[in-house]
This record gives sequence, C-alpha cells and structure tokens, in this order.
Amino acid sequence: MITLKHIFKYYDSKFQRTFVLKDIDIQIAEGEFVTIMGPSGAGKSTLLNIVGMIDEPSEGEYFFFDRAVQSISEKQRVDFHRNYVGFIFQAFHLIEEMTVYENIETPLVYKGVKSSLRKGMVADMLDRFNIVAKKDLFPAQLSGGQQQLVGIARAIVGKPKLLLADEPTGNLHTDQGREIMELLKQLNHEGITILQVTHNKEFSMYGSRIIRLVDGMISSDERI
Amino acid sequence: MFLSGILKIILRNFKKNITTTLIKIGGLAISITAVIIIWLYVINENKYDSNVPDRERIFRLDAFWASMPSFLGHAIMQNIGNEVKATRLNFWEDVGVQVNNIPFNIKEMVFVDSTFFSVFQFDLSEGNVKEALIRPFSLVLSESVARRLFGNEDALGKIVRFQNQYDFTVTAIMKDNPFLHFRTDVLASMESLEKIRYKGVLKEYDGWSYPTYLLLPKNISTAVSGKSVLDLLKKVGYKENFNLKPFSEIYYSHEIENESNTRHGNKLYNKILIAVSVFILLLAAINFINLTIANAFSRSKEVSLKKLQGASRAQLIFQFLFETILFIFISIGISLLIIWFFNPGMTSLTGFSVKIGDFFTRQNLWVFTIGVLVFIIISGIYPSLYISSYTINSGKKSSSNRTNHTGVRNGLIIFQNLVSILLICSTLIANQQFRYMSKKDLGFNKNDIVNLKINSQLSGHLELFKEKLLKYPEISAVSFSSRLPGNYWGSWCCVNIEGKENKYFNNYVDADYLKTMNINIKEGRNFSSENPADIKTTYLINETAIKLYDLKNPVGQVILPGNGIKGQIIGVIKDFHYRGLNYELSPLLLFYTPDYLRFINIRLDKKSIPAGLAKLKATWDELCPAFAFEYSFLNETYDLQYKSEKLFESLLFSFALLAIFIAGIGLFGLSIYSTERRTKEIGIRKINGARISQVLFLLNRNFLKWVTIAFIIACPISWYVMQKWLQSFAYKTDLSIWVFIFAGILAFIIALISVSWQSWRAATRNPVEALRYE
Repeated sequence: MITLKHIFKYYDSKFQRTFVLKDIDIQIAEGEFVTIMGPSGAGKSTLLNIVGMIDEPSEGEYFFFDRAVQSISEKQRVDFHRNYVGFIFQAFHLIEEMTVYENIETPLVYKGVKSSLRKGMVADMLDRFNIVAKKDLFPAQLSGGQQQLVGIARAIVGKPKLLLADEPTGNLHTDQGREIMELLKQLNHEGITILQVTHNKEFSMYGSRIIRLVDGMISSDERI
Repeated sequence: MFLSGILKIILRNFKKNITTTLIKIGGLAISITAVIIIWLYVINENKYDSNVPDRERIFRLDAFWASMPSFLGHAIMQNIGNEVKATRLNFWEDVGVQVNNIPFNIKEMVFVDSTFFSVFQFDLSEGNVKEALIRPFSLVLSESVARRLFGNEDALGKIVRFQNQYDFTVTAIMKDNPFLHFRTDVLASMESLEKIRYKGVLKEYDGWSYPTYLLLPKNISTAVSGKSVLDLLKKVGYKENFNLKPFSEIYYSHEIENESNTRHGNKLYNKILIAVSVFILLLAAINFINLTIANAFSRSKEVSLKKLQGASRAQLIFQFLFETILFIFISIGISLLIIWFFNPGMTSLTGFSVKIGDFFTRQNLWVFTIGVLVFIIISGIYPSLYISSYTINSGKKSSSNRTNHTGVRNGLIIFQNLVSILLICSTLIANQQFRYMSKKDLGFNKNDIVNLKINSQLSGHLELFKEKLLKYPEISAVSFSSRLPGNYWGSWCCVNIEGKENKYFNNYVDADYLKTMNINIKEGRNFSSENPADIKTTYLINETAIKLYDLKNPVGQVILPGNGIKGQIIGVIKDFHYRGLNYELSPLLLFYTPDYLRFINIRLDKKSIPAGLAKLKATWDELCPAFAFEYSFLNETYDLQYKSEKLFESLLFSFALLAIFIAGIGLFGLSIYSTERRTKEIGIRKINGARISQVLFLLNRNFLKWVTIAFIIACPISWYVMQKWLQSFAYKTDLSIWVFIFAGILAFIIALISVSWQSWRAATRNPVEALRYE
C-alpha cells in the first residue's frame, strides 16, 4: 500500500543543511498497524506528514497504491484526503467554531455525500462512540478523551483506507489512552491500515510492527 | 446545505471576534454611507438642464457677456422667426407682489417672450402653451408658487398685483422645474415691460440686459443655422463677436459677466468628490483586507483542518468570498439605515435632500452593481487567496511566507495614513485661508449692516423713511445705493479720463454711503448733501483706479463716464473690497445721484440689533404696507460669494474626519492581532525584566514608523494641491510650515491612541497569564 524509497527531508540554511530524515525505506501493506517510535526530533512527525501528503520529501520516491505521489496533481491530492486517509492528532484539532456533530460531518460535506446519507453516517459514529448526547456541544465543552473520540469519529466517518495518528494519546490520561488504543486496534481488525506515532511503550504494543527512528534514520524495524 | 453550513460558521466567527467584526462592518457602513451621499450629490448636480426637450438644439447668445440688447432678439424673431425660435429673458429680483392685499416677496421673476414655451417645451399643468404669454400682464406660475400665493385655491385666472401697481392675470400653471440653470418660478409676458418701463423698450439697440435663448431648427445642422443667426446680427449692425453657447454646457461653464441669475455647478468639485468617494472606498477596502488578513492567523487552524478533511482550495476561497459578500451586504443595509435616519440633518448640512429613490434608476443600479462587484473583488479575492493558502505546516513554521504579506499590509497602512494626513493638511490650509479672509481689513465694515430693497411704494418717500429711521438710537446711519458689496457690480466701458478710455465698475450712492459703510477718504472730499450742485456732476474714484489709470492729480479732473454725464472727481476713496477676496481690486467710480437706487443700507448699533430690526419693521410697515418686509445682513450677503469654497472646505473637513476615523479603526484592529500574536513574546520579555514603557515602545514602534513615512509623502502632495486651490483667491494666506507639523502631530496622536488601546493592555498584563497556555 505504501512504499517509501530513499526518502530524504532537509532544510537548507545559509551555511548548512539540516537533515530531518535520511534515506528512509519502508513498505507498509494493507491491514498493518504500524507504530513509529523514537526520541524527540527524530523525524517521526515529518515522516507521518509525508505519508499523509501534508509535507513533501526533499528527495526520494513515495508510492501510494502504485501511484507516484511526487507527481500527483493538487486535485488528486484533495481526492486522496477525501477518500483514502483520516488524521488523528495529539491536540485533537477539532474546529472550535463547529459542534461535535458538524465536526464529524465536515469530511462528508467535502466528499459531496448527500445530506440524508450524511445524517445516518454521522449518527452511526455518534452511536458507536457513545457521544450522542454531546452532539450539539462545542469542542471546548468536552473532556480531552471525549474530544479525541470525536477526532477519531471524524477521521473514520469517511471510511478511509489509511488512518494516520500523531501521538493520539499524548494529551490524555493513561486510562483514556488505553480506551483510545483499544478502539484503534478494533478499527485495525475491521480492515483499516493504521500508522501511529507514539512515545509510549505500552501503547506501541497494540500494533503489529514497530519502526524506531533515531536522528532521521531507521534504527530498527520489527514485527511483534 | 453547504451554504447554510458556511453561514453558521461565519456567524459563530462574528460572535467570537465581535470587536473586529463590529470594526469591519462599522467602518464599511460609514464609508458606504459617505460614498452614497457623494454619488447622490453628483447625480443631483447632473440633473441640471438635463430634462429639457430638444436641449441639444438650444443655444444662448453670448458676446463677452451673456446679456443682449432687446433689439437683438426682436430682430431674430422678425427676420428668421420661422426657422429659429428665440426668446428673450429679463430677470427681476426680490419683486414685491400682492394677492388680495397680502404682500409677498418673489425672489426671482423673469419676463419672457411669448415664444418661451416653443424654445423651452415645458409641461403646463393648467393653461395653454400657445396663448399663455401673448397678452401684456400675463403671468405663469410654478405649482409651488401658486400654492404659496393662493393656497389650495385654483390660481388660474386670478389676479396678482405687481409692485402694488399693475395687475397681472395668471394664465397658466407650470410644473416646478428646480433643476434648471435659471429659475422659472414666475414667468411674466415680455409685452408687459412696454407698459411698465416705457414704449420701445423691447426694440432698443443698446442696453444689454436680456439673455437670449434660441432653438435652432431640426432638419438643418446647428452649425449652418447658427451661422445664419450670426450673419443676421452682423447685417443689422452689431460689431460684437457673438457666439452660440450650447444650452447643456452653461451649467458647468465658468461664470461670465452679466449672466443675471444663471446658476453654475462646478465640475471640478464633482470630479474631486468622485475621486474622494473612490478613495474612501479604497480606504475601507484596505481596512477590510488588513483586518481579514490579520484575522487569518487565527483562522489558519480552521483552514488547514478543513483541507485535511478534503476541502479543495476552491471551496475554501468560496467560503471566504461568501463571508466578504455577507459583510458587504450587511454594511450596505446599515448604511441605508443611517441615511434614512440622518437624512433631515444631512439636508441642512449639505443643502440637498438625499432621496434613496433617486438612486435606484436603471443606470445607477448598473453602476451600483458594478461598484459592489469591484469592491468584492478588491477586498475579497486577495484575503481569500491568502487565507486559503494555509496548510498545517505553513501555519506552524514558514515565517518567510508571512513576512511578504506584512509588506503588503504595511504598504496599505501607509497609504491610509497618507490619505488622512493629506486631508488634515488640506482642511487646515483651507481653514487658515478662511481665517485670513475674515480677519483681513476689507476697507469697509460689513458687520451690523442690514439691507432692504427699495420698491415702488417706498421710492416715493425715501428721505422720509431715512429721517424716521435716524430718530431711533439703535440706528446709527442710513444710506442708499444701487449695489451691495459681494454681489456682482456691473462692469462698464468706458470712462474718459485725460483722453484715455478705461473700464470701470460703478455704484450709485448718496452722501451718507461712505459714513454708513465706514469707507475712508484718502484725498479730496465726500459728496455733500448740503450742496445740491454735487448731484450728478461729481464723482469719487478709488485708489486702484488712480494706480491703473496712472493719474497724477486726480482731484479736480473732469471725466466722462459711460452714462454720458461729464463731471468732476472731487475725492479719492481708500480701496475697499466690494467684490470678494477671490477677485483683485478693480477701478471703481461712485456716482452721486438719486436715480437707479435699489438698496437701503442701515447700520445698526451692535448691541441692539434685535431692537433695531423691530424698529425697522415697524417703520417699513407704516410707510410701505403693500410690500412684505424682507431684509438681509450685509455680512451674510457678502459671505455668500464664498459659498462654493466654504462647501468645499466643509466637505474636506468631513472627509478628513472620515479618513482619520477609518485609518484609526484600521490601526486599532491591526493592533489587536499583532499584540495577540506577540502575547508570549511580551510575557517572556517581562519575565526577563522589560519595563512597561519598553514593551509599549516595542509594540508601537512599527505603527509609528508607518505614520512617519506617510507623513513624509503627504507633505509635498498637500502643499502642491492646496497651492492650486489657493490660486482661486486673489488674496491668500501664506502656507506656513506649522500647518504640516500640526497635521503630522495630529496624525501621530491619533495613531498612538488607536494603537495604544491594545498595546497598553498587553503590556500591563500579568506575564504568567500569557505563558500559562504554553
């Protein structure tokens, strides 16, 4: 599903080149649950952003389902965001001016799903995560765990093939974190490919494969 | 569904950023109000002379002045009357009339030929176009005058007594015609003049006092038929250089001599006003752009998240454009409310009533729609493009991206302040000029003088009237004259002095004129009422005439003025500005004669003006009951000649206020964001020991830099522009450097206030608060 070949990411300043990622080679198949670990500044988030097509590599090739990402158009990229990928963030990143319901609905609106269909899909999500009662509240009125539930609901409502999670439990208590991780595991069982970044050893064990990054390079890649 | 979603978000954003939302809408609404008023004013001005049928074939005969001898119109009607329709006009001001013994004053009355309605094909609401003006003593009233004189009664066929002597019959009622360069409130048949003045007055070869209008035939080109008219004039013996001035050009053309009551607009002012309105819109658009872009920082998260959810850039641009459009329409709605609410006040301020209805003609709607579209494009496209370009990453780090846009923003801020400093400078200079004019010694004292107009009933016992008035202690001097300072004084050709012919202005006065007006004698003596031999044989001359005519010993010279009566100069008077300070002083002769006197000048005691006026009215009603008591103050009459300059100044002043206001709220709004963004930096600096004053300096420094740059650019521009404006005055104030310095300081203070509002709050805040959220 995802093939990264010789990916480099660096920033040039006047006198030196700062490398964030160096020569990354990764293959991820459909249905995997991959955890990326590593110390701060190792380039975990950058790697995730490149996979999510928010950032571009400085060098190297990236294939998503055999399509070369470096040469896709703006339109295809929007299409990718609409149909193939969902994002979950450490800081939840819900749109503060929107209610829970509207936040979950947003991807469907942009996808062009009909209003009547949308209602049902959002209602399913609310049901599944037990947040029906909260649907008219604004993000600021929810606890962190609840916000992240909404974040996940928003990420998967459009039935993406790939879920990218950047430290999804970073801002949560351990209990809330476990709950979220259980949920991710379940989603993985339902067939969604998941790529998560985390610092937490315990939570890394929920996945099927751990890739360790140090100073922008892969130091280990093991299956559990 | 998509739209209603956007609408919801927009409204929530409005609420969240309520201050800036109000600033945006308020600034926009006020600017739009100003622009609509300006447009309505210009639309109003352009209505003049625009709805006269066949106007492109109507011309006025002009020589070097606009009034013609009566014979000239007569000759045209006699010789080529079949092809060319001609009508002469003869204007009378402040005519006293009586209806059922109740006196009324008619401000302007005009005697016209029976052909008037074939040249100007106006609609009559009653009466017959062909017959209305044929017989002597026929009168055509406008609907509003008819209502004033007769109330709800039908005026047709009723009698109006003219100057308590002649009975006129109302033969027709015409629709009001307020947008014409001459007033047509009351038309009287020309033939009446033969009875009122003397026989043959309508066939006089000389006596230039009849503006003459022609309607050239339809089937021949106006150049050809116009030439046949001019040929005819040559054939009947006139040597003057005549030309045909197109009717539609008269209103906006420059005033020429002897134009009687022709009203003029000023196309330059229209242009300036339109330019100003465009500027105001630009300022408002700039504010809008600046505030939206500044706001973009806080919207960046929403934008980048939506992008991740699969929003295309086009969808986001659409969202922000929609928001802009919403803002604009709300503002337009509010400005219409403002206009509706403040209309009465505005009418008294600008002298014209704003009718929104006037605005909605098809043509204006086009202009309006295009204007709104352009405004949306200017103020909407750039911010929408800018905001929608955010991605998660650019929101986080790429600071290089943002600095480019601060460049644009700073440029816009500089431009705004430039405009407001320009307007402040110009207003101050205009104000200085008016102060200079009111302080300048005019050579006579225009204060505390009341003017009355002499009428047929009063003219019989002028001396008695004067005698009675002088008995009251409130009245210190009374004199008669044929002209008032500030009005146009007829220019004559020529007076023969020492064998040379010279042009001059004149005034017929009595012996008390100099005393009443406080005009000083430089040499020789005044006219003497004790010496009847002075009458009609002696003249006073002013200093300028001495200088221009180059006279060595003026007193005692025998001269021959244009009236053909030889006489002696008995004195030289000090120059006085009988025309406004926009004119150079010119040669003047004062004639001592009881003929042609038209005005009474009465000097009242400064302390008892109301009492003096009461005495005046009582004496008037006693001696002159058939005429309404109408008076005017000389200083007001005199200041009327600066009307358009005054209007210009007050417009400048209001636009300066507006520009300051817009620039001020622009700065205020920007400072909200820039301090918000620097909250953390301020906190850190304070923890590290920065004083409040240092933080304030840090925050205000940039804004003040822009104002300084704007000031440096604005000074030379306003100096140039106002130099031009001052050229319309013959006597003008010096441009002092203090005006510019003062304007600069003022702009600085305003900028400082609008910026400090926010920066003070930021600087005094507890740093812990600012850093807690990190």
